[in-house]
This record gives sequence, structure tokens and C-alpha cells, in this order.
Amino acid sequence: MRRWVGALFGLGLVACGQRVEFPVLPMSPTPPPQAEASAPASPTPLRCEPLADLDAPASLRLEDLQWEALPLPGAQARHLRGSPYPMVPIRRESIEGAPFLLIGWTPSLEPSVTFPTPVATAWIDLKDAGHRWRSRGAEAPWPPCGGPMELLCKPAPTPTPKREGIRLEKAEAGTLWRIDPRTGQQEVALRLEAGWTLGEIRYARDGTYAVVVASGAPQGVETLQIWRLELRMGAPSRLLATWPVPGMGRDWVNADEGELIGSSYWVIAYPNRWGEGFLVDVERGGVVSPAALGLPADAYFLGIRLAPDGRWVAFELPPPSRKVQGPQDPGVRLYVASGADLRSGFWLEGMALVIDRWRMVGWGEHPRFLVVEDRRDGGLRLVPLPPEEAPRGYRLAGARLPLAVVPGGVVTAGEGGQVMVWDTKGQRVAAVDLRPWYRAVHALLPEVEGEKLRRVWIGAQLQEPYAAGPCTLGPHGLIEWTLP
Amino acid sequence: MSIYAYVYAPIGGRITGRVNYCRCNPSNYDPSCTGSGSSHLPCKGWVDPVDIAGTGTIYLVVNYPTVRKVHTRIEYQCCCRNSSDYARAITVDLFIYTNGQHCYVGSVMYGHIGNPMVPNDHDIYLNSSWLPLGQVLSGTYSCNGLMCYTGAHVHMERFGGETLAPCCCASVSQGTTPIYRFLYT
Repeated sequence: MRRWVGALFGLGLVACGQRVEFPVLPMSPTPPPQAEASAPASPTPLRCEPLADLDAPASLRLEDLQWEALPLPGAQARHLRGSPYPMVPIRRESIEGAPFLLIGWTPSLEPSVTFPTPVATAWIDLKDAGHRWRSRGAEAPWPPCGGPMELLCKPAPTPTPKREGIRLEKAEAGTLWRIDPRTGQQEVALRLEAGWTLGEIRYARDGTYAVVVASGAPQGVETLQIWRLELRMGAPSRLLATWPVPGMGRDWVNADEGELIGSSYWVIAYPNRWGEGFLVDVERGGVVSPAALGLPADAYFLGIRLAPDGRWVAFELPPPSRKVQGPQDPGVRLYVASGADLRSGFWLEGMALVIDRWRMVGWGEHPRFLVVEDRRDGGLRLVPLPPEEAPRGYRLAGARLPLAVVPGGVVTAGEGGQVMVWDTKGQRVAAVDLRPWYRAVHALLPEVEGEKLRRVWIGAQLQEPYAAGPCTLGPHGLIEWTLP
Repeated sequence: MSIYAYVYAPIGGRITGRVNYCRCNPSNYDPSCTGSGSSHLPCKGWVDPVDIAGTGTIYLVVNYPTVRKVHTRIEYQCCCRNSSDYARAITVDLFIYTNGQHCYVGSVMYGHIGNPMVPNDHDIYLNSSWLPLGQVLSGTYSCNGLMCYTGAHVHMERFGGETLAPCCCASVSQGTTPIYRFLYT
């Protein structure tokens, strides 16, 4: 039997003088790209290739992973155990009328700037108690055991919604085309001067316009241009702001980019004099200063995160001293506000954004709440929005990441192999203790029917490596916990 | 006797990230030596990440001949771990030569490497202090909807050893400013 080597774990409302300009649009003889920016129509076969960062490639044969009942008092649960790599439940989906769960494998659970992109994925049939696996594309089945390639596969692509109506597409450097697929009409919407590079196209939620950030270094100073482009043929493009961002040259940015519903502002994610991002007024133009939000004039943001519906925003700020004492500084604070009334936000002293593998987690919408990290004790707190009834929120005793929002609350991991469900008053309403078998939980996927939490898919690490078959010996498992 | 392997600045430029990102005022000063911006996490899960803003060729620079052998690996550890240049990282395992043997003392990872100039999974016997690794990338890069590269720089992190890098916003000189060192015992 192949022995698994455990090296895996050793391992601006100050307009700031910005002038709004209406550039003349040059026509270009170069046609725009015609490729559809939509999901592939059929499943894409897995392509296997070496993955250099797996120090100890291990073997896994999917058939070896079989459901077993987990005898837990007062809980209904089953599990697949023995994976050499952490298993992450990604999403449920119906394939040809049958329910499937997409499972991903990750090479590591270490916190890093790396995003949680799985290195391999496969579907498991949930129709019955069986263990029918389906890798994307039967023509590329997972290899038999004995070779090191079993988990070294490209992940299945994540479907992206097809965009209806007028869209923008980048063509040659610095040129954006506007295309109406219904009429076939196309035109140059924006052509930047030489030396400027277009960033991502971000569409407004109402589909009437888009915002694009261009970067360049005129006169040797790194600078951003923020453009508004109407999704209307023949409409002029509008330069909202030109904003210097000197002294950059770093990696990951702790900010979301997008519109702040209820206001005329967009959050632009880019390091600058005001921290990790800044606000731009997409109606009047100009960059919005922190002072315009009622914040101290010298404030800067350690993070800016938008609620999924874009109606609330949380700014993380340093201590008043401006001297940050390391990544876990207890002096940081949050300013949380509704987009409709940014000046009437509230402060959460000693609290920080909850970032789970570089994604902000913990925004609830019905009712609205935010889960924050209490930097004084490292615990999690659920803060109702607005927080009149509990100004510092409710402590989720013993809760830790990962965390997922469910109707009426959140589900979190707990100490060791615990998983807990909390209501919006911070009361624990359900829990399962996997500790006899598992030592740590690293992934949670809630499954909701109607407005009720029906089950939780859990990725966890076993107490001991388990041999699941002739070529599998691994310390990871996947648990299905069905709630009453 | 203590023997150290030293790793010097791979490019000339300015420190823009320590354990937190730096906020350099016009005088190029941050009140916190290790940064008063947001948290700077490593690509590979190692420790004490350092970002140096600058351009040009990235060199491994060590105290040769104390360090005579390295082992290089080309990996995709940064950004979205995709196959882009921005995700590419080169890990260098350092070996001190002592008593007729090459002895491992620790490793350094360099992130966001264009045009890699060393092979993957390969022992290299040095004949000078300088070994070219690749090129600094330009521009910005985002993936999965999040910005992960904002301007020309090199990302470094270490396994073992200790950090000697100067404080945030300080200038570093290629090949002379020490960033990390590793003790052989």
C-alpha cells in the first residue's frame, strides 16, 4: 500500500478638483472580439497535469471513498473518509435531473494570499445512499491508483451568468467596444491614450452603465482613471476621476470593488492615500474623501467590504494612533453604514472584518446583520444592523471559522470538530460534535430548502489518517449533517 | 562557531510590505516599522513576507561561498494559483558548505516572477553570489474578482531563519541590503 506522506501540512464629498471630461471617441478599424463571455454549454472534461506545489503527491481513487453512517447521538450524519487532501463542498447542482454535490480538493489549508481554488473537482451523486462519482467528462476518468496524478487535475469551470443586452469588450490595448448583440451594432466606447491599461469591466446592478478603472503613469506617477460608460449606443464616456496612487508595488488588496446601493458612490479597490480603496461619485464625478463620510480627515482604510447586495459597507480603520501593532491589532475598529445614509454609520471599537481565505464573510440580509471579529479575545460576534438592541452585538461563544450565513443566522465551526448553528440573537440552536472522528473543520456548505436549513456539508480533518482503499490513506473527510 | 546564510535584496527599490503593508508618507516614513496598513499574508504559508517595489531582473543574492548550493523550484503559489506569471513563484532552498558537505539551512520564496531563469526542481552549484531568477512584472493583475498585484514588485517569504529587512518605506539596494538570514547549527 502506498504510504501517504504527511508533508502537506508541514508545511472622495470632496471632489478633489477632479474635472469631468467628455472625450471624443476615435473610430478604429479593428473589429472587437466576437467571443461570447458566457459559460460553456457542456461540461468541460478534466485535464490532468502536474501540480508543482504538492510536495507529496498522493493517490486517490474516488471509488474508495464510500458513505458510512456516523453514529452520533441525536444527529443524523454520514461521511466519506480517507482523502489524502482536504475536501471542500462547493455547491449542489442538478445534473440530468439527479442531485449532485460538487466536491473540490485543495492542496493546503494554510492561510495565504492564495485563493481557495480547488486543484481538482468531482461530482458525487446524492440520489441514494450510494457513492456514484462523476468526474466532469467521462472521457477523462480519474486514473487508477498507483500513479501520482490522481488529484492533479484542473478544476471544473465555475459557470458565469450570460450577459443580456449591450455589453462592453476590450479589444486592442486601451480600447473598449460597445456591442449590441440584438442589432449587431458595435462602436468604440473608449480609447485610452498610449500608456494606459484597462482594468476589469464592472457593470452596475441596474445594467445601465459600467465602471472601468485604467492605470498608467503619466509624468512617472502611478495614476488611476475611473471611467463611466453608459450601456447605450452612441452615449459619451465620462472620466469620473483621475487619482494618483504613488508608491505602489505590492500584492493583495483588502477591498471589494463595486457600487454602493443607495448612494452615488462606487468603491474602487486599489491602494492609495486613503488605504485599501476609495470611493468615487459616479454621478457628479470626483473622489470622495473620508471626511465627506463624517470620518476623521486623516482616516484611512485597512479594509473596505460591501454587503453582497451592495446596500451596506464596512470600513476597517486603524487605531486612532494610526500605529498598527501587527496583523491582529486589538485597537482596530469598524465603521459600518448603510449606503443610503453613509454619515449615520456606527462604530465597533476593537472589531475587525471577518476574512475567511480572503473573502469577507458574515453579511446577513434577512434580518440584516454582520459577523465581526472581536480583536480583544479573538472571538466572533453577530451584530444586528442597525445595532440598537445590541451595540456590540452578540458573542458567538466558541465559534470560529469557517462561517456561512443561513436563513435566520449563521453556521460556524467550533472547537475541534464541532459545528454550530446560531440565530441572530447569538443563541446556539443546533450543534453536532464530530470530535470522536474529526479534529478540525475547514469548510461548511449549508443547504437550504425554502427558508429552512436542511443540511450542512462539512469538510474536516480526521483524528487519524484512514485507509479508504488499496491506494488511499488520508486524514480528510466530508460529512453530511442532516438537521431535524 | 555560528555560520549564517544571508539573502540580500533581489532588486533595488523600496520596502512596501512587511507583516503589514506599508503606508509611506511623502517623507517615505511609516510610523510602524512592520507596516501600518492592512495585513500582508504570505503566498506559501511561510513567514515574514516582504514586498519590495522595483523593476528589473530578480536575483538570488547570497553570501557565497558560504552558500554554495541551492535547489530551485518553480511553483504557482501566489494570486489565484493559476498558471499566470503573477502567480509564479520560485522557491530557493539554501545549502551551506561546511566540513565538506552541503547542509540545508532554510528556504526563501520569491513571488510574481516573469521569465524564470532557473529550472524547476534542480540543484544549482553556485560560482558567485548572484543567480538570476527572472524578471519583475509590470502592471496590475486581479483574479477571482480581487486585486492581487498592484504595480511592479517582488514578494518574498521565508522558511526558517530570521528577518533583517529594513523598516517599511526604506530603500534597499540590490545585492547589498540583507533581507533574511539563516543560522546553521
